[in-house]
Amino acid sequence: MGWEDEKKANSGGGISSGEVGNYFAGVGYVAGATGNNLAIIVGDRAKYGRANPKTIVRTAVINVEVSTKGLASTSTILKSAGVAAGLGGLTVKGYQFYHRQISWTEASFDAAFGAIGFFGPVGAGVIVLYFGSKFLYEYSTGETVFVKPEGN
Amino acid sequence: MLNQKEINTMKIYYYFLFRVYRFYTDKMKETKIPVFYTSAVSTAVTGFNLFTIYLILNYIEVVKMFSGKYLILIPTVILWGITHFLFVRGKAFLKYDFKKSIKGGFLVVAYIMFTAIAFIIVANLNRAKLAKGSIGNPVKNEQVQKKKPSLEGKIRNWLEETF
Repeated sequence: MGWEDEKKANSGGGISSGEVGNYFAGVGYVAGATGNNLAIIVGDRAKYGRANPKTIVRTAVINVEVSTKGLASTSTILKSAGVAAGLGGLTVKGYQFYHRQISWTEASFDAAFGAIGFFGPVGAGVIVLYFGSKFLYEYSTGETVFVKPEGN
Repeated sequence: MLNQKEINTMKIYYYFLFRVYRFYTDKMKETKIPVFYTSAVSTAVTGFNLFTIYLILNYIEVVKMFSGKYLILIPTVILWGITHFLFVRGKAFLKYDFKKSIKGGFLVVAYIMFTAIAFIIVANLNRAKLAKGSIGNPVKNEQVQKKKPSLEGKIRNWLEETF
């Protein structure tokens, strides 16, 4: 579909149904990125010998003392959940693309960023920024980031 | 018992799993869940292969498409279960003593690219069909709601007006 069609679609009427897939994938990626960061914290603590039974997780608001073992388990669970949700998000995107519920542009961006999410902590950080910004924009303005196809 | 052809097909699939697994252990330095990553990537790729075949059958109207985007998650979960528990979890792909090679890596990347391109081609055929249908009957699919303005549309309009 060309830009002229998308422009026409943007002028009114039609359907917007790609959001759920975005959020589904986005939440999964956030979980994955959080898991990756927790794994880095645990790894840092264990770098020079056996890790302490307790780990202090420093945040902007408060420092929390938690069990290192619990932190490691949480990290693994979150990372696994992130991968699973990423896989689900990618599949739903494929379905939406086939049914013309999302545009070429949106599908390309989401697929590219979704694929980056499988590339470890850095990839997770990048997609958290992408999906986070997308969510915040759509939530705060009530508009979509990408044009939705006409007549869908 | 598997015949020689089936054994060779399995070996090719195991090589694919081996390269994905080694990518996560060697390049990504993943120590906790490389197996989980391997089964997820394998499910994504083989899932899209199967989905593409289903879409072709749907396009030529041999099979009907299920309605509701979340139903697609059910076969994905089943496929992930089969992949993970039958092929990946036991790490059988490591028993073949595969070696990493440039040719093998190229073929794995080519297979992933082929999967994406095949899906896009088939999806585009259906998108064109839907676009034609929507001219005569614009509001017939699921989840009908008023069209929202978009950031992309605003940027494109601004670019057109400015340049």
